[in-house]
Amino acid sequence: MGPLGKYLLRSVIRLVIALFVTSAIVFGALYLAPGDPISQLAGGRPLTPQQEKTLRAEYNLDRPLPERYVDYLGDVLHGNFGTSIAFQQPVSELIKSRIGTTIWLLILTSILIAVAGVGLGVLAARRPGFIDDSVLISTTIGLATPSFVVAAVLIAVFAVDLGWFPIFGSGGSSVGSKVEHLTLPAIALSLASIGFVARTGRTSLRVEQRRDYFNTAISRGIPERTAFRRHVLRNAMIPISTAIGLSIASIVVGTTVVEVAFGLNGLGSLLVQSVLRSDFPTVQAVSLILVVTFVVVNTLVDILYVLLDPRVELGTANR
Amino acid sequence: MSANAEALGTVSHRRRRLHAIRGIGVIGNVAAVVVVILVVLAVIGPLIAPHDPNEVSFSATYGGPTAGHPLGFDGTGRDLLSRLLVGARSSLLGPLIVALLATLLGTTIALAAAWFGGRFDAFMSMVLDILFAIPGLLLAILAVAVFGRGLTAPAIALAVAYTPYTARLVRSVSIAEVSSPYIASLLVQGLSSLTICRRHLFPNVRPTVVAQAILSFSFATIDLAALSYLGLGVQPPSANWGLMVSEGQQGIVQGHDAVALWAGGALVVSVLAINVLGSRLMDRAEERGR
Repeated sequence: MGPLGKYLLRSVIRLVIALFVTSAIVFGALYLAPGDPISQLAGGRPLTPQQEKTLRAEYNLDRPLPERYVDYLGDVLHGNFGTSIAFQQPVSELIKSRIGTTIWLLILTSILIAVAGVGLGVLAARRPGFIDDSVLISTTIGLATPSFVVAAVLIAVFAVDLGWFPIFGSGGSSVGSKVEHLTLPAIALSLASIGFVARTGRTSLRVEQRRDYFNTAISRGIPERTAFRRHVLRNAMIPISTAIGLSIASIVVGTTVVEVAFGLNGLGSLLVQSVLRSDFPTVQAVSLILVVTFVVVNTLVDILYVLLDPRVELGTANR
Repeated sequence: MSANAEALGTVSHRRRRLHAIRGIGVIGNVAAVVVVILVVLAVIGPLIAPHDPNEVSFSATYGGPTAGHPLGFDGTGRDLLSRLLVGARSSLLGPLIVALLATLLGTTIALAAAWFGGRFDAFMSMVLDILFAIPGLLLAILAVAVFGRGLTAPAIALAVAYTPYTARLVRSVSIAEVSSPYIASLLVQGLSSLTICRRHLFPNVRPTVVAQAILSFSFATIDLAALSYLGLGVQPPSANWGLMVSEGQQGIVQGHDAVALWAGGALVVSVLAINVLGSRLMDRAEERGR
């Protein structure tokens, strides 16, 4: 096996270990709780003997913990997340009805991060002076602003004062309605990441611009813009795309805050509602989906990094 | 706080006079002053608040500034300035504790891993790699689901989630130190491992540790505020900046944005100052390392 194959194999092994450990943490959280797991599952609600019997059977509470964990993994892989006591329906159905909004939000936010982040980075690198300073200052402030504060400002200005966007809700099923309802949430969720990507872009573009090949290309008569696009931007895209990937991983959990801020019916707001209503099966299921997405995106970033840049030393790439 | 002041070198014992911190520029020093003021406000805020933060005057709901109430009132007619001052405590001291805890844990693990090396180091690296797979905010939300609402459980969860970031960074700086000749010469002099780590190794990596601690402080400020915003952290009627943004959002829809803007502004100014100070100190630590 070549070094690339070995690296990919190691990434996949690490992914599998991370999935086992994180799922064990999510699974084990139920038994960490003070008191009886049954009362934790019921969220302190009084249960009929029939309901309690069903719960005991469903969670196999009389069997040893490792066996229950294996069962749990099997159930999860079959899409069976148990029954939500608070919502009185299977958790998988709850998730099915909510996941679309979150996926739309993640896609819109990722596009914003990539376009605005790279755009601002290029602008800052190409125009030293006033524009560069403005980008630096605004990204510093952007990085320091929590998404829910951005949300409050966006709602005050664009939804209430100007009335350009709806204040709450996820919108209908059409693409236009989704975009209309999810634009402000996506801006709130992307702002900090745009700052991160723009700064990474600015730094790496600066470094590449100072290299000899750029001056050589210009002295060969290639227009500066073309040389920048063909050579500088292409080389700098390696750290930039890593930054974009890491940002996308980090916004997965950030959806909880933004979905609550804008009253969206997604997975993130479902997680918060189920914590508030002590609906433990739903908490476990949504946490697991979010953490798996986070881990998988992170692994993809690791792999992408090596595929994009053949110069990366594979032996030391596991940091 | 003490770690802050010590590392910043703002207090000179001999002359008892404040100094500027070298190597972090004017902006870094301004940020340092703002951070110190904020932490002082967080400690004494409840003492200097002009009114009881929970005193309700129904006629003043969303009232504008008046004499004695310079920022006006919130949606339930409580004095906004008093709530901001009292709220500073849970909004800033909670995150500060998270940062200190993560720094203590991360630095201990990192120094031990760098010192013992070999299998122990490899094992710890693996454990840290796995911890990286858990986003801090999610772990904190899970902690609330298990142990109930409030700040204690999520604060500990966040500290655990931040630990690998501190540990990885401090380990990489420490490994270079451990292999340098001064450590070997101290060993030859018969000093114990613990003494060398505490008196010689740690002081040499301290600039990195302090900078990372301050950066953790800024991340924790955002994450803990988010939890209270979501209704999972500090509970009403207590004052907290994250919670105040959430309460203020109801006012925004009715055209009253003062509460959300003041509380949000307090958060942004705090995180901005802490973050700028941390980044400048980190740049300085990296330059010295070269």
